[in-house]
Amino acid sequence: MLRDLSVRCLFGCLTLLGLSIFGFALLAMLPGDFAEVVLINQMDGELPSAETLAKFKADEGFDEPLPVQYFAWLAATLRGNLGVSFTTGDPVTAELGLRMVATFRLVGLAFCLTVLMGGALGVIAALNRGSLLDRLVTVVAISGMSVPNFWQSLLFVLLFALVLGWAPSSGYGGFSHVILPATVIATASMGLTARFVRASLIEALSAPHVRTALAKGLSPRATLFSHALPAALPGILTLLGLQAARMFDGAIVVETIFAWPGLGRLFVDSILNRDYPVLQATILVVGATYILINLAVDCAAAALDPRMRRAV
Amino acid sequence: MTIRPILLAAALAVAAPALAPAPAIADSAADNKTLVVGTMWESLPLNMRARRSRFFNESEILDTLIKLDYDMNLVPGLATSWERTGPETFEFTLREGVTFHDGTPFDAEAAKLSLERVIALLPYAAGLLNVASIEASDPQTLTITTNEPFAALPNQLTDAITGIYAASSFDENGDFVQPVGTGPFRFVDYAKQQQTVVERFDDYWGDAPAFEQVIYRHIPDHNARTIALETGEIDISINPLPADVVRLKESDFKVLAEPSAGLYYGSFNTADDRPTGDVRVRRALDRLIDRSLIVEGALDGVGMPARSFFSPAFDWVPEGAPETPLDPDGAAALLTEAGYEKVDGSWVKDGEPLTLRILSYSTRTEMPLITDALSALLAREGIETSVELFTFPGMMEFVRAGDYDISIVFWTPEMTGHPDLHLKSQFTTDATLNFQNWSNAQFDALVNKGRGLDRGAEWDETYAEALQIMADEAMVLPLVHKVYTAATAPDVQGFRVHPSGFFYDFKSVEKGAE
Repeated sequence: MLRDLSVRCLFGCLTLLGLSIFGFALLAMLPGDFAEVVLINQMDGELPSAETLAKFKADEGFDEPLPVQYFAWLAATLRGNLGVSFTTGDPVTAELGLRMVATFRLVGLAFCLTVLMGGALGVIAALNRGSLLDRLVTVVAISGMSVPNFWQSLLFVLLFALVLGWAPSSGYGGFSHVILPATVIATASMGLTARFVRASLIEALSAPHVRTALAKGLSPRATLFSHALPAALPGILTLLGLQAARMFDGAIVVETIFAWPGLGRLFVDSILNRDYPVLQATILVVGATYILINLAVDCAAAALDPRMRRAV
Repeated sequence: MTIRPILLAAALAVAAPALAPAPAIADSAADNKTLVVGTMWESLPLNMRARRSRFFNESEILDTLIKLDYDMNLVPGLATSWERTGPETFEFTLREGVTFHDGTPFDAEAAKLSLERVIALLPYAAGLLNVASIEASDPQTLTITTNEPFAALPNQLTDAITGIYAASSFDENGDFVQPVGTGPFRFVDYAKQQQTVVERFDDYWGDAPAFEQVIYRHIPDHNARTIALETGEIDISINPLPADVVRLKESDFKVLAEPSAGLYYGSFNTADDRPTGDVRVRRALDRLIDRSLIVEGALDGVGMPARSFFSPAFDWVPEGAPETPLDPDGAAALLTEAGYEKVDGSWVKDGEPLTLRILSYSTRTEMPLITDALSALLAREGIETSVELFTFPGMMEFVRAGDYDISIVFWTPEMTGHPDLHLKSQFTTDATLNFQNWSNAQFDALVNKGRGLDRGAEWDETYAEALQIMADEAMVLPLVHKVYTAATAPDVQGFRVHPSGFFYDFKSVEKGAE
C-alpha cells in the first residue's frame, strides 16, 4: 500500500507541474499585452506610454521568450521563492498565507455543516421513506441546490445582519463573521449530500445482510449504524470529497460579497490584474488541495472497505 | 475498525480552524472619535505603485506641494506659492514649520529627496512629471526644471503620486517601506484585504481634525457596502450603486453627489474604410444621441449628460469651449449628404444598412449600461449596431487592430485640472495612445503651444480653438460626465465628495448630534 501511495504522490506532482504550465499558457493567451495590463492596473486604468512600457518590460524580464520566463519562474519556485505580487508589491507567500487560513476556515466550517446537516437530513429521509417528512427533506434539498449563491448571500445579509442584527454584514473575523458565508456555501452541497445519503442508505437497507441482521433480532438502530451505514459510507465519502473540492469555487462569489479575504477572490483578482506570480501560486495551492482531498478520500475508503485496499 | 472515532476525529480536524478566534474588527462606527469608511478599492499603504490607492488613502497621510480644491483650482499645499521663472523652470516657496510624522523637519532637501525617489521607483512617474532636475536652492525654495516648456507642472504636482515622503519612508537601498508624511493622519496599521488604520497627527500644520482615528474598510461588493452602512458598521460608503442611491435618499441617510472630471465617451475609428471615417456620419451621430435619456434610463439619473469633452462644471475649462446641440433634423441632413437614405425606418447606403461595430468593457459598473442604452438609442433612430463587451485590455486588442467603429471608454481627462494631459497623450498625431487613425496638424500645433502657456487670454484662445477642431471633426462622442457619489450615516457632518473622485478629506468631518 505504501508503494501505491508513493506512486499516487508522484502523479500528484506531475499534475501540479502540468497545472503550472497550463496557468502560464493561459495568461500568455489572454487578450492584451501582459506587461501593459499590469501597468494599466498600477496606473488606475490609464494606458502607459510606449517608453514606460519598454522600461517596465526590460526591468521585469518580460521581453524574454515565454519558455525562458516559465523556466525562470519554475527554478525560483523550486527554491521556495514565489516572487512578489504585481498588484500589492508584497511577497506572494504573504498574500497566500492569510488567504489560505481564511478560505480553509470558511470552507472547513461549510464542509462540517454539509456533513452534519446533509447527513442527518439524508438519514431521516431514508428511514421515513415515502412519508411527508421524506418529501419535505426533498423540497429543502432541491431548493438548497437551486438557489444561486450570490442571491442567497444578499438575502442572508439582509435578514441576519440588517433586520435581525445577529451577525455582521461583512468582514473578516471570528465565528459571527464566518457563520453566514459558510452557511451559504454549505446550502448547495447540503442538498446534494442529503439526496445522495438517502439513496445510498435506501439501497444499503435493502441488502440481504441487513435483512439477515434484522431477522436475527438486532435492533433497527444497531442495524443502521453497524450494518447499513458502513456499507453506504465509501460512496458517500467519495461524494463528500467531490463536494469539498467544489466548495472552493462556490467560495469565490461568497467571499466577494462578504469581503472575506479568501483564495477565491485572490484567484479572480489575479487573473484580472495579470498578477502572474500570485495566479501561479494560487493554482498550485488549489491544485494541491484537490489532489490531497482525493487522496484522503481514497485512503479513508480503503480503510473502511477492505475490497478497495488493492485499488489505492 | 469502528467508524465513529474516525469520523469524530475528522470532524474535529476540519472544524477546529473554523472555530478558532480570529482578530475581530472592532465595532468602531458607534464611537464618535473614530470614522469608518467603506471603500470599493483596497487601500494599499505599503505599496507605492498602485496609483489609485495613493489618491484616496494617502491624500490624508501625505501632502502634495500643491492641492486641488473642490472646484479643481490649484491651492497651496506644502508649497505656499509658486512662480514660473523661465520656460522650463518653476520656483516653489515651501511652507515653514512643517514636521513629518517621525519628527524630522520638512524642507527643500526633503521635498527633493521624496520626488526623486518617486520618479525612480514608479515606472510611470517620469513621463507624467516630465522633470529634468530638482534643486533645493535654499531650505524654503525648491526649483524644478522640466525637459521642455511645460506649464502644466503645478497641476501634475497635485497628482497623489507626488505626495511628499519623509526619508524614513525608505530603507537604506532606497526601497519604499511605509508612508511617513506630513498629513493630518499618521499611518498606524494595515491588515491585508481588510482595513487600513490611521491616527490623528497632533503636530499637523493645518487645522486639527476632529477624529482620533480613521479606518478604511475594504468591502468590494457594492450591495454589501451599502448594507454595512445601513447596519451601522461603517459611517461612509463610497460609490453606492445608483439604485441604492435612490433608496437611501428616501431614508435618513445622506447621499452626496459631485459632478466629476471623469467622462464616458465614444471614441470613433476615423479610418477611411469605416462608416465613421466620414466626418458627416460622426457629426450626425453626435447630434442624434439624446444623452439625458442615457443618464435617466441607464444610470437612474446619477450622471450629467455630456455635450462637450470637458465638463462645464469646472472653472479651468477654457472660455468659449464648444458644445454640440441635440439636433435630429441636422443629423438627418448630414446623413443624407453623406449618401444615406432612410428606407422603412433604417438608414441605408447602396442597399446596405448603416451598421456600427461598438466595443466596450464590462469591468466598470456603468459601462455595459451606457453601451446598451447607446445601442438602443441608435436602433430607435434607424442605425444598426453590433455590440461586444470585453475586459479593457481585451477590447484594446481590437481597437489597436482597427477592427471597430466606436469604442466606449472612460477617462478622467482632467484629473489634475489641466487640459494638456489628455489632449496630448490621446489625440495628437504621434501620441502613443491614439488608435483612432485621426490626425490634424493644426490641432497638434495648438496643443503643443498650449502646454507652454500660462493661464490667460492666449491660453483660453488656444485650447478653445483646439476643442473647436475636436467638435468640428467629431472624433469623439461625449456621452456622460460621471457623478461621484457617497452615502453617509445620518450623524456624519461636513463630508464632501471631491470632484477628482479619489481625494478624501476627513479633516473637517464630524460625527455626533445633528
